[in-house]
Amino acid sequence: MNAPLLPILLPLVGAIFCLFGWKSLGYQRVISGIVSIALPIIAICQLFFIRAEGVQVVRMGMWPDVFGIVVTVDLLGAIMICLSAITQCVSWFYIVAGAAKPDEERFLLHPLFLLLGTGVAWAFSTGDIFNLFVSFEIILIASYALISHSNEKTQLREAFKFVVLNVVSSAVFLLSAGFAYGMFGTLNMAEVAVRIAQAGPTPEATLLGTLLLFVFGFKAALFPMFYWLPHSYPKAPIGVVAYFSGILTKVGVYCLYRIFTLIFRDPVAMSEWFQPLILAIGGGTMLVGVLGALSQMTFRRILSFHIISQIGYMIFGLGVFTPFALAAGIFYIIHHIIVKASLFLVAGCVVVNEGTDNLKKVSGLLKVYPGLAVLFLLSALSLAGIPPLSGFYGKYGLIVEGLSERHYIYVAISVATGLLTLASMMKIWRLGFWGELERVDESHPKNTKVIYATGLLVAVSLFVAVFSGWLFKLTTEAADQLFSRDAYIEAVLGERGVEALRSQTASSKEVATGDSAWY
Amino acid sequence: MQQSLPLLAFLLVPFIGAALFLVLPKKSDRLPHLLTMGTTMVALALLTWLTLNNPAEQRFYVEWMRPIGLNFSLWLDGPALFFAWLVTGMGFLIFLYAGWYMDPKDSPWRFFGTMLLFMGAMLGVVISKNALLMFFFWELTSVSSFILIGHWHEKATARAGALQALIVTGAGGLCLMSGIAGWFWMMGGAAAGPDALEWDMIWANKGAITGTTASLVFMILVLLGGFTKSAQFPFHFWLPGAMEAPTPVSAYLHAATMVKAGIYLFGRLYPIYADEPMWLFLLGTAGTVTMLIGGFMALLSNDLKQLLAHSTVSQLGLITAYYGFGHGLVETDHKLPLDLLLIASHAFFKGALFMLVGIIDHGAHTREWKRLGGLLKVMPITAVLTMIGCASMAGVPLTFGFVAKELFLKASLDLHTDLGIFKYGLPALAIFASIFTAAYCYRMAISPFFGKPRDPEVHAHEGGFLALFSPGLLIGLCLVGGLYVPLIEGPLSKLVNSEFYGLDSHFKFAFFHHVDKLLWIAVGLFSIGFAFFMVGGSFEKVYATINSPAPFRNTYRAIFDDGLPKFAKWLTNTVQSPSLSRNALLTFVALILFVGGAAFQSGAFPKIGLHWENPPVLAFGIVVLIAVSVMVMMTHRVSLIRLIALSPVGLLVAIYFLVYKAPDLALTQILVEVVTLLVILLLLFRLPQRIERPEKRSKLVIPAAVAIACGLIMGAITFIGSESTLRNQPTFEGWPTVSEYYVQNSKHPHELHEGDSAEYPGAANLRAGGGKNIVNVILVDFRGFDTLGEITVLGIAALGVFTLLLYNRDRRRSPEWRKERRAEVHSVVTFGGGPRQEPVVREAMWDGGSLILKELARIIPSLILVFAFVLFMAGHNAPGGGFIAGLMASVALAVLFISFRKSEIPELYNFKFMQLIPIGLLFAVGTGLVAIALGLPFLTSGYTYIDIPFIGNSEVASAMAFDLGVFLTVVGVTMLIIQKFGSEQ
Repeated sequence: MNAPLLPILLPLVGAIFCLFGWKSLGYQRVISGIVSIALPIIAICQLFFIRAEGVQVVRMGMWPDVFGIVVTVDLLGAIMICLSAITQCVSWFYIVAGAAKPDEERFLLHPLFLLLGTGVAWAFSTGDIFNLFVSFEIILIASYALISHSNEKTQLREAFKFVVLNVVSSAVFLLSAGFAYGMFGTLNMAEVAVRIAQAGPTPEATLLGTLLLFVFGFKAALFPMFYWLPHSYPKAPIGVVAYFSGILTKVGVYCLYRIFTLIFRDPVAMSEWFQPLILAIGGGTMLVGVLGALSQMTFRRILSFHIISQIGYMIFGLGVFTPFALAAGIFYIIHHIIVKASLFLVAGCVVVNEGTDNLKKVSGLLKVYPGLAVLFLLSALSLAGIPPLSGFYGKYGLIVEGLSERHYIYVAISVATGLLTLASMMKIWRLGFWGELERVDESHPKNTKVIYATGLLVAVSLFVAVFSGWLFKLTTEAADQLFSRDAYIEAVLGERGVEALRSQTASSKEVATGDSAWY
Repeated sequence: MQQSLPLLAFLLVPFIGAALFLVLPKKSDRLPHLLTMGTTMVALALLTWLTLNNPAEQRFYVEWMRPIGLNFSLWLDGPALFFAWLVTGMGFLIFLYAGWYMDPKDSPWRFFGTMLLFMGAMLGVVISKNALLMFFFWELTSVSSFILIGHWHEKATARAGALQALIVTGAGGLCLMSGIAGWFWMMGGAAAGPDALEWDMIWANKGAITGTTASLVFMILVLLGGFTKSAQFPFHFWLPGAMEAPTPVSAYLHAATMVKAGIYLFGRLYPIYADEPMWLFLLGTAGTVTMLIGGFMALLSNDLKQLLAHSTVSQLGLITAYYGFGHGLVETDHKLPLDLLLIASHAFFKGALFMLVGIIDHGAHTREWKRLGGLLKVMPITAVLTMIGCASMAGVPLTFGFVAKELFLKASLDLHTDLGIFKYGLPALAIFASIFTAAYCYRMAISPFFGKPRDPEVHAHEGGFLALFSPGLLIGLCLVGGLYVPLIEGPLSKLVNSEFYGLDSHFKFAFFHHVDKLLWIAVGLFSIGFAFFMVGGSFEKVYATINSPAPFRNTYRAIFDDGLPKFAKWLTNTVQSPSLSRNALLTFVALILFVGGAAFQSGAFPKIGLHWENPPVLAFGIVVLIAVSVMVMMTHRVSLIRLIALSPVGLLVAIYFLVYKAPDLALTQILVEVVTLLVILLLLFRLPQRIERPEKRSKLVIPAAVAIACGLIMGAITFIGSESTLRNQPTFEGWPTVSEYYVQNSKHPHELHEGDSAEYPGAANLRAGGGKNIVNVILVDFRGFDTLGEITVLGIAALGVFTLLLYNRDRRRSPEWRKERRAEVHSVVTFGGGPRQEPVVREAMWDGGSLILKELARIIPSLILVFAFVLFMAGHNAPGGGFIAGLMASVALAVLFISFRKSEIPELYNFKFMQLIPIGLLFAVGTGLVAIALGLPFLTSGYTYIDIPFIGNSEVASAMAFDLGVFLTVVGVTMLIIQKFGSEQ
């Protein structure tokens, strides 16, 4: 009954126990290691369980129906939790392998990181708007603590900007939650969905949806609210930056997928306002991110800008808004999280071993780290969408579906973005890995263990490529579940919720079922 | 159909070989070459077996991703088999040569591993039955080509050439991909069935993907893939740049195989598009123009390898044009005759010539013909082989090349079109271009070998057997094919017996049997070509006058090396400001645009109305006062005054809460104010004492306007939200609203009556929250999970501060830090321009100066603590609770801190408040975990009654334990911060 809470409670309890004995690094590592290794196992079991048994619900405090807080995990949530757990697990190996300086690691890096994981799993699980806000707070404060962790001037400066801007968006989130309760008398997402359907097309619903689009768009670093990300993420400790880059902005993307499939489904508002807006934002995000990447000269900054551009693809999938586009979008999210995290791990390896990742200062690394070069090339090409690596399938699916929905301009933008991504990835390769060997400090201690830890995650991305057919089936199921929303609403509100939805939407043209014909 | 495992194995062998290169320990320098030869021989053996065992029936098929039409399906139809032989056979010969050419110390593992990877990719391109799968391998060839061109990556030209090749072919690849996606869509997408993108299905359904405007777009996109890959005009510039690669790479990838991928694609597209008028236009024009440009450039090249590169461009143009000339043959049931002969012929002589230039380079250490000369004596075998190769390239009778040339000329003279400009223009262009072909062949065959050495410093020597074997064999094939065509044509026609590549039996090759106009044309070409060769030098002057050194390469550079990065930099610097206030401004502008747009679009704003029954005068007054405080704050520059001006705001908000009958909130607000003020005071003298005014007031106009607009929008939203009547209606018939439900259930258990449940069908679930204070019951029970999250947030915040201070503590121990810090302190902006204020604040607060404060502090904190305890215990039923009590207790402790020195209360100064945070969190989580242990949902509460001495029968709720957790966390967080900041001095 409480199983869906495990991914939230396990890291929370782990963090608490880490704190009790924080002075011993070994103790912290063991506790955090147990949690980090157990998490992916639990998360994968949960995914299979939910796939077999349907959406899982925990009614907190045993309050009936939706009067308490309801934790609701569907397939999309379970997939995201899996990804978070896998990234966290690899990051643990990476940290322990020596990516963090001893002091950095001892000063509560492990518990803070676990708490960040708690917040993320929380956001992926909850079915309540205010509770989602709480989880965003946890994520925000934990990531703030981590970005400013080493207490260096540049870190503090960027962390401060990061937190101020994010607090602004959180304030808007709080306002939206208040607005939602004021409007609909409930904070449960499923119930809000039913109430909006009952109320028919209302401007209030559009307003609420736009506010939330702003909030989650901000958290997801969408155009035009992306500027907080590229300079702050590279400042996070190297050990956790992969998790930042892979998971954190995807919380925003997940929320957008959630609310626009579950709550704001009025067909008129969707086609006249949300869809064009989301598509425009997606296109802008793709372009501005990739152009930003082209303008940078440090490894991690280039990667940070690419996060933005690739979120554009995910949002493009949401904007196309068909079950197939959502499936492709979810597949893209899976790929992106793993590959982007791998690339940051590679960048981290360069920093750990060479002391800097400024491409003007290091070059010719291919000679010293051939293995790392292979890992980079695999991830970079995957990021650029070169088949048969994992980045191709989601992107191609989006292009096919974009064509058939006749969003030609955005299809063209996404193709062009792919080319520019390739160009900027190869810039890293050309400047960093090729050329005469140049190093900042010859005597810098070598650490090859971190490269092995990086290999773990690259192996996962190869796994995604090899089992892409199966995974696409999974994301198709998840997208169908999102698109038809019956399973979710039935799990939370019971049969009457679905009936209420049906009776309200029967008159409108909305497509209620998303059973796909392709499997 | 039976799965052909040998076919799969044939494809996988090179990849397995390449994978071995990654895994094996890289000790030996010779092993890579042996391993490559071994792998290639296994592949050859498998291919032989496949060829002998009914290749057309060999299939391998696995469904991969149905919704995008992707299957892992392989076949060996005629062209596939031909190309498979070409790739594997040329691979074998060139790898053999590479063993001689490459320096064993020159990263052999990377070189040969990538070569094998390329071979596998190229095989994949040609034996894929699925168009999308072919694209997969197509991209892989681009990538491996990129790595191989950049093999000598220390050279900047190699890096640039590799990148240019990758970008151009990569862009083409994306066009190809978009074209395939377009096909899939036009065929009906997923509905077209799983095999829609199999080549035979595409041919069968070609009606679906031809004939409309959209289909024309996709045709052009797909063709662009081929044009870029096969270096056709205007994308021809990347191929000469790719010659930075080691010679075996140039011979294998950029002459014999990879650049033929585009040609291969044209062959596959031929049955689909050849009858489209655009086919002749695009392929014919691009092909002949490429021929001309390549030939012209080749004649001007000084570097023999560059000469070959340009000639490759030119020859690829020839083959492309040949496909174009096949326009109009499909419908009349004529097949395009023997295109594969052209390909084979080119592969033979061009592969050989590249290797021979490599031998010259090795022997003479230069490839510039202006420095070479008279090599015939020193390198006789190389010279003879080169001359035969050039003869074949020029199409001299008795060589294989002549057969190809004849085919081409015949096709060009026999165009199936009514448009005069094509019918006469294209052949004229083609023949003119052929003159250059003849001319540069003379250059290649004569200049380095005859006459006297032009540069006395060049000393050449002949290559060894290993070097000469492969080119010799290929040149031999050129001769055999020319002397007796059936020797090659026979096996080829048996091999290539596909439906679309049938032989035209009317076509005769035997040259000696008749003398026709083709022969005269050929003779004419050779004569004029020789003249061109003789006056070659003057072409350089012509070239200099038109002065267009590869305008397309320059366009590429202008875009990718110059324009794009500059534009990107400009854009990023514009939007990605380092200034926080600018970013915040952008954020608010975005918010205004979003919400304003939504309101405008949906018509929300007309809904705002001010219809209060009883205007809340008091509340309105409070709001005005808040606004006044903020304005006062803004007019001052001194931090302390700003703080004082701002301090009423919190208290006013508390009063506002009281007006709306929320004592818990008011209490919390006041306490938070107090604690925040304390913390700020502790930090104040470390912050800038003065906030500087911006130089120009006008700079404030936009931010002010944005701020006002934002405020108005927020206000409007709040109005709209609070005006709703919807929230008072239940979602479902018979349900209470959330607020009704909370009121019903926030009761002492003994107040609960059976009748309470009547309105709500889920009556069985009705139970008391165990307390009368609805706010507290919401906090610890209805929405306890939120509270758990919020105290976690508090805890993390404190931990963050704690971590930062840990670093400070460590750093302070270092002498450098002290020096730095001293400098920093002296540069702090001083208070009001006068002397530093810091000591004053410090003394007042920390040196225990005030006796009155000290005396009071002996009593007051105890009182506050008692009050905190009462608040905590009463919390569930009356205003109070863990959060408020925690803040209250913290205030008490803070008073002690302010009043006493470390020496007076060392216990408090040394107490590890940090440990209260995990303890508190554990209490809160533990309460929930107990419920789980009892088989109930997380955080389910329970209560019981116990007798406590002196107090009597009391209710003890599990929520109390949760609340205790909240209490401890709050105390821990607040005190940790105050303690650390306080003792930071």
